[in-house]
Amino acid sequence: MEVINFIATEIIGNPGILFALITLLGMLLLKKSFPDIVMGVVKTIIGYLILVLGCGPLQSATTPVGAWINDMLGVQGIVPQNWIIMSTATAQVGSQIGLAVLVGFIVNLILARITTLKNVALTGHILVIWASWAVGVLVAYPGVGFLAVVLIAGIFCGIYSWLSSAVSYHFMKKSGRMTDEFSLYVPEITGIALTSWLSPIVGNKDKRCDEIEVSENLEWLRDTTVSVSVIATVIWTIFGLIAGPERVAAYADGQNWVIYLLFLGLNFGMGLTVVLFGVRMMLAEIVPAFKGISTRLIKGAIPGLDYPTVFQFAPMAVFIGFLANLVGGILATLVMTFTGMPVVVLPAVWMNFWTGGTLGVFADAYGGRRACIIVNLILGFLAPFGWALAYPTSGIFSALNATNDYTDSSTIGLLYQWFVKLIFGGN
Amino acid sequence: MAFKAKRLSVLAVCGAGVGSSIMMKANAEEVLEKHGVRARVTAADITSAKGNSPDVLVTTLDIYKVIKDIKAGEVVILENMVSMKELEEKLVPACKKVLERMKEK
Repeated sequence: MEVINFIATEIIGNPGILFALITLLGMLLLKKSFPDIVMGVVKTIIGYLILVLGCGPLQSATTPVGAWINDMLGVQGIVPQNWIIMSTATAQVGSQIGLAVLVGFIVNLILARITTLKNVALTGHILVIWASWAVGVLVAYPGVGFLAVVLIAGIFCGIYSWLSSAVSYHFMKKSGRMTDEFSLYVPEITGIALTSWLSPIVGNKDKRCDEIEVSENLEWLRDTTVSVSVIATVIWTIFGLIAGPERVAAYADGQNWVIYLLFLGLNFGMGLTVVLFGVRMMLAEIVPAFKGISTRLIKGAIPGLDYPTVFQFAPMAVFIGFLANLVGGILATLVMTFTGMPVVVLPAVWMNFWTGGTLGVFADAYGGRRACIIVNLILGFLAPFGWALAYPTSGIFSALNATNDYTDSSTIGLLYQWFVKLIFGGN
Repeated sequence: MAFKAKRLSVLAVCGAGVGSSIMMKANAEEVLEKHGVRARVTAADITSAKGNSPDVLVTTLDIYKVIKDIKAGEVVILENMVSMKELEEKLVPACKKVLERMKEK
């Protein structure tokens, strides 16, 4: 019994070791050389430790902004940023997440093998983020045990990632302007479907974004770590100035309040960079293993990949989509603030780029530049209301001042949370 | 003494360095193994890519515009960042070029 207990708590219960074991398994199946395996395993553990390290600064840079909004308006201010969700959850319940990712991947492989939809989701970090959120929602209910959390979240994630890749594949192929060689696995299927349906109605697919010129002076925005830090600094400084010196100084720990305020956004960018560095180290070996296994097991497997793989189809639509989506998000923040909603969602910035860019490519393919602007304004404006609605039932994240910020978090994610509450939330 | 090929360094770069660049890394490893080129492939984001000097840099045009100061032996610009065929056509000759140059020295 003691041995089993030791394995359960000290080995499986240690997320670093668990993720390393998954890497080891993948590399052994692919018959990698011994030095490669040692490197992969060590890097996975260190990547996990770095990821946890980045979680602290990310959180301490977001808490004050939420608190000022709360203090001024008596409402909850939340920061939409999925890396906060991922790093917080993996630090707290990383083992359940690691196992849920593994279960989800196996479920996806089985579904792709036995059905005609040969889609396999391979966007490693999104598999982990989506599992982090699914697990974090479940563990908040005391009645759900370890194994139940892993199985429910894992099976949900597996079905979701498979379906999501299949839906984006359908719309990419149907557009005739993208590809049928691969698909996307990003939590935006409701966004992609809505965009593909709406764009022909509001736009003209022959007047495309690529005819528009964007100044080279804006190219730096493509470095997302930099653009997030800069835009976050601007937005938070505005909120800090409205909150006033006293409220800001209360968090500044003796530092000059203006300097503190300016560094808040930069600290946020620093936390984000650390988290991304850790994630990259952790996934650089797991993802190739997942890919190798899926191509060996499933004939004609269609990989579901990350956002920027579609950016090549309309580079200018990415930029225009980003800006329109960001404007929609800022408008949502303003409307929430002035109508006295119980939860105010700050502009996301990071996901405005990835979501806006990707929906921009779909909108451009189905409805040209007018659709790219109109659809992104609408969806960029609506999504935060879904996140606000989902916030109270988001489990361990509902005390975090932060939320997942994909389009699907406001639709499918919301339904999942209500469903979990319905089943496990009874008295 | 027989020439022993050095392990090349290949750097794959995308915006955030966690999704597409890791997929490019996986593809590059497969392609290079197939052609018997020994290489260590790493993934990076725009911010941390700067300051590296890989033998071969693999990325897309929009990203390259932002990181063009990087000193790389060869630069491979992909139109389709996940096409195995394009990668094979461009990366393998680039690696061979670097290896040729090393032999000459």
